Amino acid sequence: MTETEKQHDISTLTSGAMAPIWEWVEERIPPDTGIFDAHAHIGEDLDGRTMTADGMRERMKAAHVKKSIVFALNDPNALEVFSGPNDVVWRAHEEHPGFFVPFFRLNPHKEYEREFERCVERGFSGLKLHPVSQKFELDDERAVRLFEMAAKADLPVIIHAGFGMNRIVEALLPTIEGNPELRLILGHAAFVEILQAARVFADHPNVIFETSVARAAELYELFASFDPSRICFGSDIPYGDLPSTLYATLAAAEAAGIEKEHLRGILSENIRRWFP
Amino acid sequence: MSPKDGRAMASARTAHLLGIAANLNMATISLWGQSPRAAAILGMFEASIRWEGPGGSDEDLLERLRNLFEEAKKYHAREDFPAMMARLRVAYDLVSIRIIEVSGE
Repeated sequence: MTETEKQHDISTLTSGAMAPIWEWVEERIPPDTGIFDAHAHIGEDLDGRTMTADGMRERMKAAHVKKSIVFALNDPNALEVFSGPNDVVWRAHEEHPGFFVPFFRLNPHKEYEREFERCVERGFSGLKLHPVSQKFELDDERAVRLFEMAAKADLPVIIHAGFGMNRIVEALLPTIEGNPELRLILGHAAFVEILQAARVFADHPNVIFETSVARAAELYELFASFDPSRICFGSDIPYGDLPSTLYATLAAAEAAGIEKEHLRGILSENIRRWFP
Repeated sequence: MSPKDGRAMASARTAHLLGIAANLNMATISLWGQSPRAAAILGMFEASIRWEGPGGSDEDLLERLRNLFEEAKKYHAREDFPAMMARLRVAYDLVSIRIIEVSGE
């Protein structure tokens, strides 16, 4: 079986020993919840992972997901400023109207001004930054400048705040305090510092936590200590998948006693406040 | 069973489940990092779920873990990374949630 065929055989994620898990998940999704996935990728990565717009749509349909924020992977073709991979994301948005919320990706080490301007003019809905892949700290002055540009353009920013991260809260706080209008999505819920992030960012309403590939125990910490109206679901496709990430989110929420009305918010309505 | 005995049993179950979670976490990370020791660490996880836990109270969980692991192994052999990782992620979360539940008993 080729990698592409394997990636498109999504039945393997909900069959066999995963079938009762998926059944449990489906039972807990509140009726009429148009699930919104706040973290997914389209394109290809240096590590060989790939995802197409069609592959995303198949996964979304199978898991009752109505809309997904999508952005580029750490693309081998992103020689300078990710313009090629950003174009792939934009094409997906144009070819599948209403299903994808396109974010563009940048490398703070490169001359990003022109690509930033091009993507804003084109109509991208947000910016993605990945401190591990692009090897920068969140308080690097080039990154801080990008945060300020995004705030000025009223553009939400999603940052990778998961695997491989060391400094999140301390590095972000001055930027958040200095730019209270900046809308920031903490990808992977800042799981390495999740409790401190929940404490420190509680008073900053434009910071929201996105759940993809954080483990249920970490999400339990978040659900037990943070305003659920500022938490949104994400999958991190193709690194994560919808059945297992929905399970982690719903199992943690149930263990923490999150009420059904808030589940609808976490799975859909909270992020739709920014992307109706 | 006295409250003291109940607490001791909950502690023993927690210790047992923490060991399982540790082996599973190591296995998952080693698979992510494509470590040459991944297969050996998967074997450690398999060993840790093979037998009954303290008092047998978690047998329902262990059975689910065994089923998920058997399939994860199959997908690992086929190099189907997403199907394998979905099962290992869910297995880890099942153990974690059970530990959280037991800690409140």
